Amino acid sequence: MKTKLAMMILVMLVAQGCKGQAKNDGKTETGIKPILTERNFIVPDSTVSAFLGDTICGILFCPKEVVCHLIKTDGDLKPIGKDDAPEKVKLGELGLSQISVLQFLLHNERNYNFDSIVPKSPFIPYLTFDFIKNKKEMLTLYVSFNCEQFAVKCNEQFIVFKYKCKKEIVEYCSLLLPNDEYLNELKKY
Amino acid sequence: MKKVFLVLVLGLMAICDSNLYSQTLHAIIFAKSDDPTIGESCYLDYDNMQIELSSIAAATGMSIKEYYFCDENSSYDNLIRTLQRLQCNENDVVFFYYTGHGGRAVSEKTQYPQMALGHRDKECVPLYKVDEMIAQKNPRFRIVMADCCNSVVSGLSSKELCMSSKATCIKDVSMDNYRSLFAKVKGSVLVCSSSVGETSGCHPDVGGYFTASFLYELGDIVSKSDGVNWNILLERTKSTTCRIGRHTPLYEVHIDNGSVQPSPAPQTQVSSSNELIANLLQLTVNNTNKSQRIKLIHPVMDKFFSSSAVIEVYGRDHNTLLARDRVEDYLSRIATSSTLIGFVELAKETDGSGRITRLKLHEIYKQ
Repeated sequence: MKTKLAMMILVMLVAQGCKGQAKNDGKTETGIKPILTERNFIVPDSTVSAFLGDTICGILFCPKEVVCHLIKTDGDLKPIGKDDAPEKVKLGELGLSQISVLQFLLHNERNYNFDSIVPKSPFIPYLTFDFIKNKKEMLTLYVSFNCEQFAVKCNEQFIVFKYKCKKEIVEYCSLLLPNDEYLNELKKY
Repeated sequence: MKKVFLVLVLGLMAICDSNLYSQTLHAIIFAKSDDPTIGESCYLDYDNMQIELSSIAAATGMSIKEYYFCDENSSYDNLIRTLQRLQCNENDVVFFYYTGHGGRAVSEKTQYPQMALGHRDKECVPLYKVDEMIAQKNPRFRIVMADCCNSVVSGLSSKELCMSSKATCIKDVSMDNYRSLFAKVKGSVLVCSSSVGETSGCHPDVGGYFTASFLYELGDIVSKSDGVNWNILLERTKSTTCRIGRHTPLYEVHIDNGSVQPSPAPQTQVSSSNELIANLLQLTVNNTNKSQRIKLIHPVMDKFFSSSAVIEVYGRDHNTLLARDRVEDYLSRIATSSTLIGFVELAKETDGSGRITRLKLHEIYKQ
């Protein structure tokens, strides 16, 4: 029953992504032209584009491949920063629909929390997504659930920002890792 | 021989009697003010709670014993040491407050979070454990409060273990209400700033949203209401925190309805574990002997201050300078004031011999 519901959510999200793109008539609001239009049809809205910048959006919404990693946790609560390289375990490469759903969650300003409230929980990411466009253009998206924040590490930039769509992100990640104890615990709240 | 025995018995009775009637407020604050992301707001919480705790002591007539830790001193070791060494009389009140990062483990056994006193798992202390450790000391009333996230952190293990710019001014009605909340009750209060799975928020200009809400509602409730109680206070705090911080505090109130030994009237025997503040209090109306107050000016000055020391009095926002006096003028002023009942030391500078050259204070008055 739960799997069916999750599948329905995924289909709806992807369908809505297609609908949103149809309205754009193939043109992005920011002028970023998707390179692989048939593969990457979701584009950021103007707020997201302005917030993350062209370089990051150019990779995030037009990657050639996306690789997911699980960050090893050993009880160390030291927050991850710009210069940290946490130990990771490769989970695998995302499929096209998985990339699209992740992009859909990232493309809309309504999924971002731009208020000035600072969470009182350290930035401890659980999963990372390496977005690779080519050998020179790549970035890492860190996902932290305890403080409800993302971080993007791209070249020298390290941007941390809050998301609003916690349930959807937890649901998405638990579809990638269905038997994960931590993610299943998060689904309770 | 009989006389000596009688004196001993009377002395013993006097000690027992004073133990029965005197109340000490054990004020324990741990603030992670050295954290790069939330340190500034935690420091604001630290300052605000110090002022509130001194106000509570001044309003209720309780002596205050301060155990304040911020920056790198707000560590796991200091917390455990403080709680282990804490000694309470059966009439005492313990107020524990933490502001900083927090979280909960997968399958945590309680609804309350763990306080992150360091970066390592073993440095995270469950709030309920603090409550248990304080309960073992048998105080009359204990309040255990944390302003931190209660969201699930991967890798964390489950353990078994806007303010006024003026001086603080406490009205008579507030004194009564403070006494109703702190001096006339027996039991415990356990509070944290967010519900299970939630994050807690803060802002450099506001502090923790929960702490700001609690202090605002406490100030409001003691100044206006009749029949104040902890349930009303915490329900109002919850509502305000939800509105401004978008997280929901969690609390438990266990108040015994039995009779409580009456606390002494305010402004008598108020003291502080801070030696400087304790001496300054002896210059105020806390010391009913007016001529002695005047006589104490120079001894206090010689003991703590350089001759050219400057005293600066700041408002409750810690930023508004209300008065700047030379030390002798300041001590003379407080010795003749009939309404000044408490101080909070905000900062001080000393010379090579350890004497104070500049002292920043916040004052607490009764109205």
